[in-house]
Amino acid sequence: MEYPSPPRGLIIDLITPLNERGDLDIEALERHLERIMDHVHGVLLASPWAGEGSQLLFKTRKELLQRTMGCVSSNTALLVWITGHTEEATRRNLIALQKVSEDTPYERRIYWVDTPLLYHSNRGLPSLYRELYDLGNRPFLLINDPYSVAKVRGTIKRKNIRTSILKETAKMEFISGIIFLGPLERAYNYEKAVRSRDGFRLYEGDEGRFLEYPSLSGVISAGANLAPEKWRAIIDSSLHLRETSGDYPDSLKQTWETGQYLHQLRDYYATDPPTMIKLALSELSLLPPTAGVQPNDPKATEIKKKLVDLLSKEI
Amino acid sequence: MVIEQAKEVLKIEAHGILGLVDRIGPEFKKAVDMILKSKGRVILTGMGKSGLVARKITATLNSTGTPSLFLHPAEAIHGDLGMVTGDDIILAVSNSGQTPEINTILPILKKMGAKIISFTGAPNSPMALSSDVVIDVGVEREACPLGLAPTASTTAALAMGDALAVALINKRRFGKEDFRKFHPGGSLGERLAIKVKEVMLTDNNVPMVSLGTRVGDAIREINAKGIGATLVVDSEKRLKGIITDGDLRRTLLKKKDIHELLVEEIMSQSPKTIGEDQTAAEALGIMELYGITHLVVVDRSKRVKGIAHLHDLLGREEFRINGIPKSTSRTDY
Repeated sequence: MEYPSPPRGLIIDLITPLNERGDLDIEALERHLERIMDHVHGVLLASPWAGEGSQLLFKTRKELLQRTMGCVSSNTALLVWITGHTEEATRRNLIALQKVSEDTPYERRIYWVDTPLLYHSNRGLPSLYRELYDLGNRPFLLINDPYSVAKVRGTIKRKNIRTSILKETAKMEFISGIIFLGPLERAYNYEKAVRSRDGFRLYEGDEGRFLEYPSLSGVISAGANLAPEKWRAIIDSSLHLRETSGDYPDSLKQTWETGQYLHQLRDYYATDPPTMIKLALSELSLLPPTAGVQPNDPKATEIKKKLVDLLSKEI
Repeated sequence: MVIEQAKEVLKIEAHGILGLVDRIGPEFKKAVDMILKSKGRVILTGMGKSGLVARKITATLNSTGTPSLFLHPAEAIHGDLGMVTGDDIILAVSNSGQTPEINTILPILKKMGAKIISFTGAPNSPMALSSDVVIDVGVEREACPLGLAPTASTTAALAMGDALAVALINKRRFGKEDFRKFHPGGSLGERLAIKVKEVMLTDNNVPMVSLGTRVGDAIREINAKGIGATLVVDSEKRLKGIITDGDLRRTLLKKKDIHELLVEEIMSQSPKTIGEDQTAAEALGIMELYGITHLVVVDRSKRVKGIAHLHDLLGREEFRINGIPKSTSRTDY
């Protein structure tokens, strides 16, 4: 069976709007999706970063997928993080989310996203994915995130997917790409390992690095929750999705300034992306006040003010 | 920080090129065969930095024996398409494969009968779909912040152009001599651009005898100056003739004793001449035309200023007899 490649471009690491009870704020989600939809190529749901996936209730993950499927266009790829605390929990998540995708009356391009080393070792990963594919029946994207693995499983020896394991795993057609965090040296090795696979995506998981050395598959961006248009402009420039021969050198200057703006924006929310992004969007009335956020925290308030000031200039 | 960044850029570009290695396949061979079979030229086209890459590939192909031209895509639709014939091969360079100027002219070029090869990082792009052969020059990562300038992608396209040129060299068995022929700007070319007066023999180095001299004395002069000939001049050093080794051999076949003959009896009366401000290339052209190895350098009054020898025009290391380097000793000639 042939699988369409995941899109090249901007994949938003979507924040998960929650109400005061901690449930999914559906209205806020729909408003937020409406604001960003025209600018992104794909949406990453319930990610372990801005999406707070590891803290979301099981029912919230399901509802998030269901509601998002109803809001996005059929051209927009949906990347859904399925990882649980254990292999069994991951399997359970996958089965439930697959059922949601089947029961929802919309046909969408869905890719399951998994961080295998959070619950599994390198050994036996190809077998694991053969088994998961039988349950999920859709293509997978892997996440290599040594920093999260180190936090959750500090004693594990290998915190990265081994290159040889990736090479072996990527031979399976339903493994469509990898979201990469870690040193560039390893990224080069991964690139080499998957060269024979047409359409295999190597998404940059680190927005800051993407701004310096753009990966031509695209980027997973939390900042796109705040400034989707500007991120899209950078993506179009970096990935050469459009030929921009006009307005030279003005367009170059604008791109440079946009890049600097996104760098600065990221400096403000990088310490706690989900919290700071939600705070800023609430302050700008683009999201309702969100549960779990402590707006009276002096440090958060100060950063929020800087973030809002910066955003206000552009919105 | 600056050093680290520079190192990272070089690594990214190196990995971009290495990434092409696994992608070289049947399409590349098809491109080489297509160019070899073509009766026309390879016409490169590209916009912006891809255009500069295309220009460099054009130069490389030309200097290695594949006739090649650069066609600016924007100028093409304003008349330059006239330079293309149905026998030509078009090589279009665009990383995105979406350059409007290129995609506008490709259908016209196809209609003219030209075959199209594309170098692109987007094998499913409109440009690729219009091409007969698509060579993937895509890279996974650019080295420039914000993609302000294509970096690794243009390097990769450039390297692929070199790969194509080298493959064609080997297929054509393009040798050192062919390379020289296409490189007049090289060391030989530089030498041929200088003036005759800079390489000619002058003063006492010029073999010279006067009218009325006996042939025996002329032979001694030829021997002494060691370039296989002597000039014959009048009392005002105006050129009257030349006696070469060949003239001596031919005379000996007719007469046993030639020593007592006068030089005017055996000399060639119209030696080929050249002015001292003419170039070595012109001198070489005259020598090639008449099959001679000497040219007498004279002024407007036919007064002898010197003599130029093939040996000195080419430089010693270039001079060959039957493919064997000539000894540095002139008397061995």
